[in-house]
Amino acid sequence: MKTSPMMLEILNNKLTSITEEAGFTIKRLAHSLFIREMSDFGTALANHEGHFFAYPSAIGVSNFVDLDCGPTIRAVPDLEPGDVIVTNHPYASQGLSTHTPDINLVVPYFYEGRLVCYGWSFLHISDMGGKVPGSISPTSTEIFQEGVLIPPMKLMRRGEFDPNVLAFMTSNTRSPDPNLGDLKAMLTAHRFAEQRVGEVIAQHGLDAFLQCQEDFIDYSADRTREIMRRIPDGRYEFWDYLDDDLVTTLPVRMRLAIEVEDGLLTLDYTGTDPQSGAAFNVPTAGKRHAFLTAGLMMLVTTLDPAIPKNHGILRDVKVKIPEGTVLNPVWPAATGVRHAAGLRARDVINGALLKAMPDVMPACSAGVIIPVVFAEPASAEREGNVMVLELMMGGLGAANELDGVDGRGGSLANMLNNPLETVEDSASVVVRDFTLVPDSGGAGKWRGGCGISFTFEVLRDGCTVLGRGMERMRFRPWGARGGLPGHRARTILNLGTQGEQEFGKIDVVSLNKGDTLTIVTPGGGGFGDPFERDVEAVRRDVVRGLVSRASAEADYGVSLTEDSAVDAAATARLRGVSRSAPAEFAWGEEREAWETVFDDEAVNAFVEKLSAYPAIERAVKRREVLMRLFPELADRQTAFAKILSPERRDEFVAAVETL
Amino acid sequence: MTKTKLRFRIGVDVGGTFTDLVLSDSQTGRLVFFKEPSTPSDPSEAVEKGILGLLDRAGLQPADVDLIVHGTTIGLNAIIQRRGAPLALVVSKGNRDIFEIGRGKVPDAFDLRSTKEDSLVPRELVFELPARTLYDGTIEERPAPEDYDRLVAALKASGVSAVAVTFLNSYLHPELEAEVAQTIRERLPGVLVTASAAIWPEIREFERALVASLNAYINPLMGAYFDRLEERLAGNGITAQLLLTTNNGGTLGLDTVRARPIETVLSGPSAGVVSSARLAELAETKNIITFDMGGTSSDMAVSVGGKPELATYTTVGDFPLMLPVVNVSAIGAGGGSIIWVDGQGVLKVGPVSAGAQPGPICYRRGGTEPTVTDCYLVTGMLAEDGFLGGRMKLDRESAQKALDALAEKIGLTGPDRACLLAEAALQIATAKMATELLKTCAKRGLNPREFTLIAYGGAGPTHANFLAEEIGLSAVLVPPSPGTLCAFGALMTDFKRDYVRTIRRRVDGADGEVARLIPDLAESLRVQAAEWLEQESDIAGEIVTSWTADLRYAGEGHELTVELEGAAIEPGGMETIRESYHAKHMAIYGFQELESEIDVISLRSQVVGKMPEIVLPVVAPRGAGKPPTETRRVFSRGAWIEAAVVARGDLFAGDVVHGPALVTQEDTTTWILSGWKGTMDSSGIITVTRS
Repeated sequence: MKTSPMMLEILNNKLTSITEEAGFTIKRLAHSLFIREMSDFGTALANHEGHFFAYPSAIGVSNFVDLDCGPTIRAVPDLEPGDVIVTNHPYASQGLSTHTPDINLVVPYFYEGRLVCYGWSFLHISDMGGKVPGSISPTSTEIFQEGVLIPPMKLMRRGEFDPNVLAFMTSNTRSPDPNLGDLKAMLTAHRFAEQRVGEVIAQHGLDAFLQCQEDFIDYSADRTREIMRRIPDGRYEFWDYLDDDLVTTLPVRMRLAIEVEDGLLTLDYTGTDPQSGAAFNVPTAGKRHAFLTAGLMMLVTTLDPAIPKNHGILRDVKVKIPEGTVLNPVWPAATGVRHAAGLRARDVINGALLKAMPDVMPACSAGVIIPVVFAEPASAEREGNVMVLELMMGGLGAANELDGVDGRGGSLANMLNNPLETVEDSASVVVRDFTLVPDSGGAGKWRGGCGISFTFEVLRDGCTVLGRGMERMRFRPWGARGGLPGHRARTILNLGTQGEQEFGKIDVVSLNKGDTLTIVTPGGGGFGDPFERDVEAVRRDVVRGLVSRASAEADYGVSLTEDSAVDAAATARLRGVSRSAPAEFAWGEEREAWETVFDDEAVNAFVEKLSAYPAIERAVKRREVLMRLFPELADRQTAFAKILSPERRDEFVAAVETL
Repeated sequence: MTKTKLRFRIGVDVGGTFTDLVLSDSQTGRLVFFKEPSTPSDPSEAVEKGILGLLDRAGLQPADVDLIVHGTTIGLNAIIQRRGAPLALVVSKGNRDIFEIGRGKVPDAFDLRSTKEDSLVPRELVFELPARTLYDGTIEERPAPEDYDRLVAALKASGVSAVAVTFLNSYLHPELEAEVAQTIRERLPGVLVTASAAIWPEIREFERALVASLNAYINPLMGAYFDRLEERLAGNGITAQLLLTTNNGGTLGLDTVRARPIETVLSGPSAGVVSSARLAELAETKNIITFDMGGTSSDMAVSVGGKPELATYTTVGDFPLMLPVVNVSAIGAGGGSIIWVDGQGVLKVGPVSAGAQPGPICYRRGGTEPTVTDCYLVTGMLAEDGFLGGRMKLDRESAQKALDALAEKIGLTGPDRACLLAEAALQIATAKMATELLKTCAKRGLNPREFTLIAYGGAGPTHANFLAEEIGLSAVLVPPSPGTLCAFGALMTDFKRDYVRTIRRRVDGADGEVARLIPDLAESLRVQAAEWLEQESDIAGEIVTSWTADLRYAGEGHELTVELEGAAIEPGGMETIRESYHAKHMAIYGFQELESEIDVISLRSQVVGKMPEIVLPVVAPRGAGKPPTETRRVFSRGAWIEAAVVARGDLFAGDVVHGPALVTQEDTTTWILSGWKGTMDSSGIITVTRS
């Protein structure tokens, strides 16, 4: 590093601050509710290659550090002062934008006529056209249904809007005025940031400014390498599933092998299922991408909270992602709800890293963010209304020496749930229950966090609830190192009445006056053998009502007396029984049943065979094979154990061979 | 007669290390200061000693004191250190996990091993009661006698000494909650019960339950403190009325605070900001940013047009607090922040602080790691004997040794390596403060260059000039006693209380529902406020009520607090409300949506009963000559320079001190950079500007 130890600290503070100030400016001026309420936007400074050397830690989306502006910059040569590049094209920008509503701007910053760095910002705009308002629907089958595509091009030339580009953008949206307001908010932020960059250069010199871009990245890379060297060299494999992609009932598998050598990591996603015919695909262009490495960055920031967040953290990570998979789809696959696949991709990297760093990584968390979308018809008192009634998180996974958090989310976004009082004020419902679910956290030496149950009663006829973000209704959040999996998600109509009815994943449910709907989020997985859990901790969980007496005995081997004291003799008896050695992971019954047929070897072969077909045909072919062999898979409510068994594996293998 | 004129008033601020006291004589304008080491085991002891010491220094008798205005962090510390009362919470059915679930967030989104805060009330002490009021005020379910029996038995068995009660929708319909709270009080005498809507009837049950629970949590402890304090004061023949400073920068009578101790938790910094705004007006400055640099951190707050900015939401310890408070935010290092070098050889300042114990190396209290204060000392900005008027000798040699070692670690050499390192560390601290300050301004759309910095706290005046230069500010004000400004500020507070009513309805036509509702609510708030002030004290003068409303465009999730003209809350005020909101939206966001409907979320009022103003001392102009000046070597911008050293007590109005210079006084040192100058004015304020 050429920058002095003092200047590095000073400049890093100042330049990070500029990205944050730009972020606050966007948040203050933007029109879109996605920005004002959910902070779905980002800012950063990029070097000449398009990599971020300064990134905010306190505003906007926290984990887009590993995005790459390079392809966008290279697509638009001959940049002059005042020029602004715009794109929302997931394929043309090679994953800088990951779905069409994310408008990205890349702006060359000049100082005394010389290009000194690039400013980047993105913002989730209200609407980019396409088949539904807001442009995103899980059922979109091609990206053309998700709105207008803007490959990297100049939005402004020498400080003036290109009228053609602007006219084209505003003509293809349902919300031209707010969109324009959002663009202006971003442009204001860039003007401000460019000016502040100029002030820093004036104070500290151009050489220092150019040099520090390189040194920040080296600095973070060095600190990261120190952490990664704690991972023993080797190959760590893991896979996990999405329940389905909503348009079909078939699970989607993501498979990862992390190879580690002297602190250098290669992520190999070979064996991941073909790209989805629905909008669940993550457009990575087959390169390392923020949606894949977010979990890795979390590991680094967990072990080194003060590390400057920049390209250096991920720089030395290599990836291999076969084309035509759900994590590297080819045009024109839809990508609107890539977020759901992103959540699962994070569980996959989490699981592989857990094998590598078992003392640090937690068991699987709930892995869902469920917005309960409620619609009621217009009435004399109220307008017709569609709203997010509640935003539900589940339990977090337990880790070594750490119980999982009950009922709160670590998540990709930075959102709050709704107070019940505003829920009742805004919609014709009464909330009956919003509590933790006892026993839902996976048992373990360290207990997984409990999920949440939300029950509301509808006060009017003709209301509907849309299923969004519902996942882990089949595949439970796994436990690790002897810990048990967390409970799965559920949806139940009229719980506790004669008409009680459980759904699987719901698309739309109609509700009439007096009906109740209960939505239950998953618990986190447990960590370590529950029979080794501190007896007092088990007793406390029982007293607090988070673990039942029955589970205390069966899962933890702890017996309590009537007045909630530990019955030492009975506990010793329970814990003294010899048991089989705990498994490295506990998956739950659905995954176990699924893998009686679809084990790793068989599925790898299947994926390999499918890869011979053109990318857009693979999902169709896959579905054809599976539904021909197992037509019962069409029903979401039938347990896999009733459909699948080890005897049927041979049929599947044979079918794959004939492909 | 002297009593009603409130001639002798004492301001007290109980801090972690020192209890500061100020006496003001409203007849002569004399101010007397006193510092007494705090006594954390029983803070009233230091208050008693301090008052006696102060009176002794002033030559007065206990009976002479007319009024004591007291700021305290006892409640805050109890919350931060979790030393409050064993507490139970009573909630509606289905709402037991109100604290466990909270708003769904874990504190750190970057930490895989993030935990949530320990709940203020463990789950087994949260009791659900069949008590439910619907949104429209219908009482759907009311506890039966056997439900009460069960609850009371459970509360008794749990041994709690305080109970908070929060039912869903009590913010609009507090009756059921009040009824249950009253029943618990009657059946469990000695247990202090807080009903949420009685403290703060605003929508959002989690935050409201926290307000109630935090209030209940510190209620027994603060009640006991006030008992002891009253006893000590009475024992010394002090009969003066006792007032407490509050989060909103005002003051409340003891009886009110006994029921609402939560109002005091952030009182210290608030009083500092309020008095800064008043002092700045004396220097004819209306737009200020306060810079309060103490031992562990630096805080800032913004005042525009002489009015400190209020926030309706802040955090206390681990918890959000939904109450109006003066908006103070932390911006970085304090004098005790530790200087260190990381594994890659990069120099760092903080965030760890040596705090009051063990403190900086030079304090000789066992500190072994160099701090910001040690940097001031080795560079000569502080003198070895210049602390607390020479009563505390600083250990320069040890500080130097530690900084030498650190300097070598990053490859600095030569006899001045410690100073080079110290200066670099101070630059880093300054850069961090500057960036935090700029961000705070960016959030609000303010240009910091249109503001004046006002520096206080033990290290504020020492560091403020660095910060002003870094940001490009034109002036820094240093008030007369920067180290005891919070105690002094207590004397400048007025009686002040905030009220809120949640509305959540669309702004409608001239004779619509909301048009009728708002004047009714305003009237009920007026009555409530008048009753309070009536009981509070007979010393309040003019009463001023200001109105604000939380408004938003229909469909938005985030509201703006908008100041309202009197006309807005009269019948027919809807158009005024609409115009006020459009204008405010334009000012903050740069656009307005004239076609959009507007929702009114809450109506707020702040009622101020003016306290008779204290008379400030006047600094006389210098007849002739110059202040006596010595010089000292200071390491600045990479080299040793000679800086002028002037005692603040020797300055007269109109005196100018040219940088590089140090202005010394008992509780702080003001550092004036070369290229800047300090000018003393007749109110005792030094204004530092570019030469």
